[in-house]
Amino acid sequence: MRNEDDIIREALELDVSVPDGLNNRIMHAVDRKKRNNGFLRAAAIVATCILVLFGTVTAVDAATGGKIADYFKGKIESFIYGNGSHTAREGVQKNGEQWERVIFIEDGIVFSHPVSEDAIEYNLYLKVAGSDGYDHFISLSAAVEKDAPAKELYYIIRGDFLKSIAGYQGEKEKQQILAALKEAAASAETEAVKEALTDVAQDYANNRKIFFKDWPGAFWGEENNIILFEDITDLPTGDIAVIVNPVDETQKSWMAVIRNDDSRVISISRGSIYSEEFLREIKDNGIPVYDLRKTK
Amino acid sequence: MTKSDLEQLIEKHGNDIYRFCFHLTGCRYDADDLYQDTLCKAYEIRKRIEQTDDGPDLLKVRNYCLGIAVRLYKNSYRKRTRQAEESLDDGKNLQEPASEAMAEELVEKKEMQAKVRNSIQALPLKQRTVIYLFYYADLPIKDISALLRIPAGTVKSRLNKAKNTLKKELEEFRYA
Repeated sequence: MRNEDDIIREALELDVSVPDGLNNRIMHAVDRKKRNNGFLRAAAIVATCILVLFGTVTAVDAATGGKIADYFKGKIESFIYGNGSHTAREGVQKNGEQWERVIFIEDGIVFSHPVSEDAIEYNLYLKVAGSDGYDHFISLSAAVEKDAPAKELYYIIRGDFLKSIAGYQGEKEKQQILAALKEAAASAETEAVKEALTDVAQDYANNRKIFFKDWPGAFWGEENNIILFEDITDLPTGDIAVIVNPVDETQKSWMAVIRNDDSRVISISRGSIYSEEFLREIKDNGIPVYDLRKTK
Repeated sequence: MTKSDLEQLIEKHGNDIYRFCFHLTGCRYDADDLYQDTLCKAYEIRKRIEQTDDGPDLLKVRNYCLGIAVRLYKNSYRKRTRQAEESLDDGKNLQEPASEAMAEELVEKKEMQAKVRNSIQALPLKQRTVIYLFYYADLPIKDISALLRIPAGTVKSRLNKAKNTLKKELEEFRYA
């Protein structure tokens, strides 16, 4: 008898193809967008930098002196990527618009539950009376490997939770969220969770919306741009650096940061480092590398 | 990624991406929209696509596009109430049987596949997405984790939950 894996695979084989003309429409749409695209110039700068990063172009902005690498020194201890929420959500109509509502379970406490044999999810549900007259249900969620060290637990909760509340900047909402975070910290059972919640509250209160430790900025868009609360006019446009993350030792990640046209926006690219050769290649191409592993 | 890279991507992996969109939406009309939006988005954010000396690695770009499709679908498509205008199981996958015995076997097999597809469609979106990426797109756990931006443990747990559900239903089909 065939096993379940084979049956599922076979069931997913479909005999459908892209309808006639659809690909042509796409190419036309792309052409139109290309003509109308106002920020091509900025994209070209970023694309050039990425090309440089992968060694295809060597005549680069190494000439800018890697000031951006210096900018980050001492400002980042590590970086964590948010992993979104694992809670149930549903679509609702409000004022003719489609919104996503978090299914409300319980507010004000952090609780954890195993989501698999090797992962635990931490959740905090908040009910916030918004200044728009509506109640908002905010779900903060972070999934952590079961045997993760306390430090990783701390960073992941801090990063993911902070990311979820960063958009709530109305005074009324903010006070409620801060009160709930403090209350949750007071009742937290583990030290790492308590510390993470305390620091989330502090960062949030001080508008340090980014989840990089001690780095003032906020993610925007699809996590590819960071708006800084500081002016970085002194850094040359197009300057690039690679930052290596120390937190996850099994799959070390890198983040390339590129100074944008805008004086307060930094673009990032990110990926994983599977070999030290990769780093050497980057260095050989004149890209400054800020290796956080060496600062530990 | 240049326009010519996009053309190559469409030629080599267009059908793959389209079928993935079809699986996600369960309907040809929505699959068309999602496929078009996915490729336009990929082109729009082409600066993030890794380059090699010979241009982008098209398989990686395909996987990147699957990630875009999932995100677009999550954001805009899943709450649509449009009914499936063309079912995944409208019989178009059935082939002409070579003999009566083979025909019976083939029909049974196709029925089972249709049931499995329906069961997959009934899974929560998060589990369904992981099933498509693992079984249809043939991606390893670590790539799914990177694509969906969730820990590998979460991918495994969603996959296990989905498989357990499907396994139970498969057993019911077998004994029905």
